[in-house]
Amino acid sequence: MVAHSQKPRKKNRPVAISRWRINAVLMASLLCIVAVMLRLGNLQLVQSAKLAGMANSEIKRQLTINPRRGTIRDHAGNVLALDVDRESLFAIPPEIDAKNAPRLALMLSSLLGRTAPELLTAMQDPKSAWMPLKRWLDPEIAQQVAKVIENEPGFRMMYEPRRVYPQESFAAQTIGAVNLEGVGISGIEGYYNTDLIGTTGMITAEVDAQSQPIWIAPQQSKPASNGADLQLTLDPLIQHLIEVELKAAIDKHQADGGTIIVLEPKTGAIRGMASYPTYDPNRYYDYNAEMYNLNPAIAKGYEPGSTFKLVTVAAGLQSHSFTPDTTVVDEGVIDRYDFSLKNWDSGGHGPITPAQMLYYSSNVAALQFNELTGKDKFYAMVNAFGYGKATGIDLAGEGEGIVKDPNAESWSPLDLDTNAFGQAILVTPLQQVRMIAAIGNDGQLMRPYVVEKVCHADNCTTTQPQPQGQPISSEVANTIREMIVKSANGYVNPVKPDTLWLVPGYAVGAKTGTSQISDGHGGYGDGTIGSVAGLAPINSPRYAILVKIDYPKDDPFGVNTALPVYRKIVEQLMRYERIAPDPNFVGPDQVPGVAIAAR
Amino acid sequence: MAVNIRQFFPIQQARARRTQLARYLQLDGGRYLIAAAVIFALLSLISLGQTGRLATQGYELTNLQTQQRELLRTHGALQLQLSEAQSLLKIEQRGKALNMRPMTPDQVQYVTIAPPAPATASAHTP
Repeated sequence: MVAHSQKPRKKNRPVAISRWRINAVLMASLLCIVAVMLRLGNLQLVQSAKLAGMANSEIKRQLTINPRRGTIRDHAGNVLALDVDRESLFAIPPEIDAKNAPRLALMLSSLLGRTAPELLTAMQDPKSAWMPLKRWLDPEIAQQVAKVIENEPGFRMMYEPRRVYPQESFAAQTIGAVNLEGVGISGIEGYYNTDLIGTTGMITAEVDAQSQPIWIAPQQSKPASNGADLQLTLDPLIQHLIEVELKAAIDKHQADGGTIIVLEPKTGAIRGMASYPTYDPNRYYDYNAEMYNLNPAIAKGYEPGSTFKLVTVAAGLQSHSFTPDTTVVDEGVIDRYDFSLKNWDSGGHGPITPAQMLYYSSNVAALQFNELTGKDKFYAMVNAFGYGKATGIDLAGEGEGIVKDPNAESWSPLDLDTNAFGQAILVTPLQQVRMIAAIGNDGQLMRPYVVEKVCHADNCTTTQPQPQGQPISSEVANTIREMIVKSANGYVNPVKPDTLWLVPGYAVGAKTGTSQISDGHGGYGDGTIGSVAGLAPINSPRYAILVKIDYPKDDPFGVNTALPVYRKIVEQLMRYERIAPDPNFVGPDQVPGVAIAAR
Repeated sequence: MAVNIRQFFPIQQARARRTQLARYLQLDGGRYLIAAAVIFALLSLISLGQTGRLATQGYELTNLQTQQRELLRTHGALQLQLSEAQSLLKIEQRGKALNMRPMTPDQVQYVTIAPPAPATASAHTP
């Protein structure tokens, strides 16, 4: 039997853990718990707001909803200005592969219209995190660019709204332009900028990796309100007609420029407004600032010359200072206040009435009629016609003209005489056409306007014609209308003005003017402005028209430069309005449209 | 011979079963916990389902918005093409290219339509 000398196993012997060990473990656990609690308290209570803000800034974004800028249409509904989304190309220089950059710059240069070194500099600009390479690419170009930058890091293409004028320079000075930041800077775009621009909307929401809002999270949103759509009073056919005729006249007379306005006398609605030279608002930045900021038809003052004699007659007849039968003696030249004042040809016409004064365009007679009226009544009429102040047309940048205050020290009695034939006074073309429109509207002056309807979504507001006073009575207006018909026909046949008609088949009124241009030193330079103001047809006039040709080189007189344009415009306007010619207004050898009576 | 020795006391048995059933229906702490967990799980499942459906709808909404943007862009581009085609200058150029000429005044004929004749006196007129 083998004796086992093994030590007896310690069975069921309780493990003795010293008390201090247990306490140490408990203490360590407690410390850990306290640390966790402290950390938790710190995170949840002390840093709660800060950390919540940091978290929100990562996932919660405030996204801007850009409104669409309103569309501008003409009277017939054709679009003249609209917003179109175009793609823009941006570079993120830190992400661009430096090895590929020169090759890409070279490939993109021909597509973007920028030189390769220029592009390379932009693409490698260390200071920029976001660099626009070309904004508003044409869709075809954008497709080609997208192929070039495909799989290339550091390039982004994004849609941006672009203001586009599809008819280019058509009515450009009236419509105006929008700058690269989307703000209207001139014309209707400037005047109605607040209406057109709309209201920016906002969404505050959690977003995904593509910055798209996650719809399951609660969000706050303020919808964008698109800009108002505008409908203009401009008639596309009239606008086109006056633009074509103006350009042709300027080319023919090698003039520096010119303006034509066609206005509806009864309402004040502008049916056509054109000036030349003009510009393309799609690339307004290629022109000098005056071109797109200043609309000559409403902003550029000029001495109106003989067309202002209508105001002289209106002032005298309205104040009963003289009658249509009153005569003054026109000797061709007259001396006043140490100055010799004369007619355009220095020729005299003997005793003449106001109608003959207009017919012969006599300066000498005009100043004598004005002397009969006197300064108070004359300037009261000038004021009543709205000279020297803005007409209130809804276009940005309107001028006021300059009328000397008869009570000011700078005014002299000579001013009353020279004002009688439209010198020493500055008016805008719009003021002048509004004056003759008032004569055509039985003496009532209307506020000119170009926007006939403003539509916020389906809620449209129509502009109501707004009278601005009654400078002359309907009788005086009618008398002057009769006078200017003779004056108009006199341009065709000075010997027998009643035998030929300026526009065969129609009785129209017209008064020409030839303005000298100030040299800036108290005298006049060599250049002239030829103009004509008229009404067509004279009975219940549909249109008041002003034609103005600046600095014609071949002929200084308005009767030879502006009047033919006026005649062509009236001829076509009457056809456009489908007004049949009256055989009573057709002279020998004149050809109107042939009127036949239907059964 | 077989003999049914079971006592036939149906009322007493029914009473005993009722007493046992009440015992089964009694919920102790553990059962409460299980019931709460089941309810919680069900609610979570419903919530998850709703959230999932909402998320799907959110993506659909995003897709529709993208489509809307694309359609608006197409609309803008078409409107641009239309207004370019409506330019009178271009219409005139196209007319000239087709050998068309502007109308001259002698080519115009106006047709004056006489107003309708007044109705003849009616028979009822005294």
